[in-house]
Amino acid sequence: MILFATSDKGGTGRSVTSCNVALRCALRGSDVCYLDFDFGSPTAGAILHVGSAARGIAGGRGLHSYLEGSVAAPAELDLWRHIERAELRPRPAGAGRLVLLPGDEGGGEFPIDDEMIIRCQRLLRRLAEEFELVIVDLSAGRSYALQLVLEVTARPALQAMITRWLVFHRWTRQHIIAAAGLAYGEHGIVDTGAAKGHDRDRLYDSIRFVRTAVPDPESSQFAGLLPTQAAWLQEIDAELQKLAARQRVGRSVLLGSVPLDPVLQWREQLIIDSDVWTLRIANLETNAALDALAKDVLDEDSWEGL
Amino acid sequence: MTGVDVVFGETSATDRTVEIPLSHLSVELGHLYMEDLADGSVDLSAYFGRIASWTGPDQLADLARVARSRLRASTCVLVDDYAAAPLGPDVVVPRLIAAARSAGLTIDYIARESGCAAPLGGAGPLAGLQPAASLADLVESLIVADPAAGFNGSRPPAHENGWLCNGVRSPAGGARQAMRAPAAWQPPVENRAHRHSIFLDVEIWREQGPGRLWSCPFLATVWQLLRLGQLRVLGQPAVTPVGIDPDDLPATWAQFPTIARLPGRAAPFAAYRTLSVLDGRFLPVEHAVRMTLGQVAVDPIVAEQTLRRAGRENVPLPAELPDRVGHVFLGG
Amino acid sequence: MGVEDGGGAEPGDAPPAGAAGGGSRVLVGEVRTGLLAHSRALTEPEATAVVALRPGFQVRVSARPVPHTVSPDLTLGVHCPVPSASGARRDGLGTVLSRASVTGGRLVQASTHARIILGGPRSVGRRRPWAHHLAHPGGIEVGGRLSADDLADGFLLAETGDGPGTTLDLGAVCGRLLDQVQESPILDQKPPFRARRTRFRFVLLPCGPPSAGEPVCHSGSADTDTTSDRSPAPGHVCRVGFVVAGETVRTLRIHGSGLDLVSVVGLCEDLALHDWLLTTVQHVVAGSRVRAGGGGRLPSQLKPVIDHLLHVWMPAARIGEELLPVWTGLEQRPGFSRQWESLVAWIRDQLALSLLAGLGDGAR
Ligand SMILES: Nc1ncnc2c1ncn2[C@@H]1O[C@H](COP(=O)(O)OP(=O)(O)OP(=O)(O)O)[C@@H](O)[C@H]1O
Ligand SMILES: [Mg+2]
Repeated sequence: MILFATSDKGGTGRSVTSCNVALRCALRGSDVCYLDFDFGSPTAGAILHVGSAARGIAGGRGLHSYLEGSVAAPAELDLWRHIERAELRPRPAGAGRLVLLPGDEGGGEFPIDDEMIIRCQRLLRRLAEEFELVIVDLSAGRSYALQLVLEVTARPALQAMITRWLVFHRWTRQHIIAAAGLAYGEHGIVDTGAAKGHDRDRLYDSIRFVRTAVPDPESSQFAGLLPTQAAWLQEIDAELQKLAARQRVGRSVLLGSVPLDPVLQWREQLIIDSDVWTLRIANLETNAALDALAKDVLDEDSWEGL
Repeated sequence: MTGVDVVFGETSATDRTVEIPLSHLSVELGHLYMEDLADGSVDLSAYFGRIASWTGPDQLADLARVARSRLRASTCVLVDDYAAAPLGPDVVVPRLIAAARSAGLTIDYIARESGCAAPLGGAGPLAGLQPAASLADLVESLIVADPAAGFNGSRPPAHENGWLCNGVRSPAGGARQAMRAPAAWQPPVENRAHRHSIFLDVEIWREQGPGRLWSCPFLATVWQLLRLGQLRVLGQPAVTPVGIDPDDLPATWAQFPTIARLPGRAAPFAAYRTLSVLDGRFLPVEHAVRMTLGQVAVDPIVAEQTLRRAGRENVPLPAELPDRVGHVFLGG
Repeated sequence: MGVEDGGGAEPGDAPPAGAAGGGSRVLVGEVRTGLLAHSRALTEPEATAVVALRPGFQVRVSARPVPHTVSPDLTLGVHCPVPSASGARRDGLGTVLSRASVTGGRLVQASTHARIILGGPRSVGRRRPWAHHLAHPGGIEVGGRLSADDLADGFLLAETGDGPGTTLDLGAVCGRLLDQVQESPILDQKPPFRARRTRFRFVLLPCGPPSAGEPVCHSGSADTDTTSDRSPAPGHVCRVGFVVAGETVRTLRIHGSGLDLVSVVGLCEDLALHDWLLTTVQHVVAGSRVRAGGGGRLPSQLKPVIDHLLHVWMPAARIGEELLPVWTGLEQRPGFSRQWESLVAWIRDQLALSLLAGLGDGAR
């Protein structure tokens, strides 16, 4: 499966969440690779604790160079060798492969040409041949990266493959409306995809939403609130639920929801067991939510047509 | 070891490539545009007369590098019917034969240019197969572009649709990453130029309507390859000359064979070498033909067969295709 | 470009003065092997269509011992420095040949090779017309001095290939071809399981004393050097060095003389195929050992291996007599067939256990 991670707004938690999903899927035994298609700011290495590729990879071997055609294949970093977290090295027993394809250090956005589309298609098809899960983290909004992959996935060689879309959004009014717009709105994923030759209904059915940094009014975090504040929070939450349903991003297309987490609030990182159990800095709920998300991503039932 | 040698062979696992008969020299007796024939502005007898003075038996034997007594040479004319054909074979063929005869020349074979672009497969051993769309498509697939310095295989060969050149084009101001400086202009360069570049960029085809419109220089390249006997389809000769009766000619070129053999005791159509005697105005076309031929890699088995046969016959033959092609360009 | 031969080459390495015209020849190549992107084994007509990569050219088909379909050769022009361990930049000009094949309707390979002709005059590359190179397909003429060992080391040791470098990149040519085949519209893009591609690089060098330029055969714990004695007969193999250079990279260095190059390429394709089988099945077995469900259940990953791969193992079936020593050597160390048999035995045990467990379940 090729899974595209998108969001309309920047800073939604798209990258942090999908990196954590990648890790957890690999720990469950799947072969996973993660492509940093956030061409304007290729920093997936930072989230994945790869110091040498924190701002993209040096030496002109990253995804930018590959798509522009200056290298025959982009660099693939075996994360079990590069993650700078002792708990994850060497490769945990039973884990699948976990590979990062970083962007180029200093790489920037670029317009798309035909050759690039062919190269991108080649790469995604090859990776889908080797990996059970290929996660492509796209730039926020209606970007060149999104345009490129919509174009590529409409090509015959990729149409035969399973391609799915995750739209990340925060749990606020503006984010809900923006996410719905990116998926179903004018020049959104479905619209643009259909114009490029995708089957509209199939594309529509392959989109799911992930809510990030969701404050849970019930949680202990909000234990100190005044009764008026707590009531207000409950009310807003209920309103947002209604708004989401109206915008067609309600429960039926919800793949997961990650609570607001103190660790993620302060640092973009992988959450692993030791953060929860030994260091006790990350919340149990976050851990459970990420686990559920990883499980659901690979579960065919979550992607059943509506 | 049992002492028994088992030889295991499966016929389908080995190529079978048919050899075709070869003359020493294929002589092209001029080339005329259909307009020249249609409007009658060309004095055909005088035209063939000038060609005849360059195609005497001694001259041909010399060019073929064999003794005159041994020389096998055939003559041919290619009719330019691809773009437009106001006149049919029933008009053109008798006119050509008569004019050539008045100059003391015999035309052995008449071919039509449109045959090089017509669908392949159907007749003979190729019946039912669709091995290549046309001779032109086949030859296009044989092109192995002359690599520019620095080409190391890491990218697919630069592939400007429908064009072939002899070097490196001037870079186009293409897409660049955001916040990078634009590239400065650079001149084109001929590969392995002798001090200075003579850069040549040739149109091979152009998209037109539902299909491709092949360029005249490219069809002329196909023509040269046919004359050199180097084209095969699934190991079979790509085209075989078909005998015709000059007294019973069709009215349209579509009904005319790709290569027609006129009655008489003609030497084989294809040859080790070719000679084309042409008007000077065809020089750019033939320049393009030579450049293109120099980037065509024919089936190595065919190339090998030809060289071996030339060796057996004691005919000196260069391995490089452009070196087997000779031209005489006539002034006005 | 003016770099002189560096420290890697010994003084004795210069081609003998008399051999200036011929120079020594080194065959270099790479084979990439993978699982065909299709849900079931291809039939012979399908496999033929998948590798019919050139209009007008014949696909070679053989039905025994395992169905095997080979594309016609594809030619690509290159003009670039050839590899060199010492960093000498020697420009080469010529063509490389590639072909794709399907074996057992299941496995797909692309292979690319070139004969590198050393010891030509420095300016040769600049003056011979391109048509000359097309008349000798698969040859790359190199101008200037470069020793065969320097070239071979440079080629076999190249970090990954596919890189941003400027030297000859056979791996990229090969990888593109494999992609092209896998993109065929005939394939449904639904392989029964995921498998990594492997890369198998090889060189064929003239016979000669082992040189200091063969560090690859002795360094690293995973390395294996299979050496058989030299024999003076024509068309023979003198020495072979096989190295497992990483999870998916293998290198093979053959010293031989009078060998038919096409057969050597065929041998390497066969070796690469069996090495891929071994690597892939090993990977699956290792995974199932960790995750073995217990209770005699057959780990789910084993089923596709049993269904699709076990029967493809048919070592040295297409190899000529004079090249058999290479296979025999590799059977001694690292012992291809021995490893394979032990994997197959383990899988069979699991299968038997699961059958027993199934019977037990039925009885309950
Ligand atoms: N569940 C969470 N709880 C709290 N903070 C979070 C959570 N998820 C993400 N964040 C934080 O939100 C910020 C943005 O996250 P991230 O960089 O993943 O977003 P993004 O959508 O990829 O942004 P961009 O568009 O800039 O790439 C980060 O500081 C991250 O740590
Ligand atoms: Mg991000």
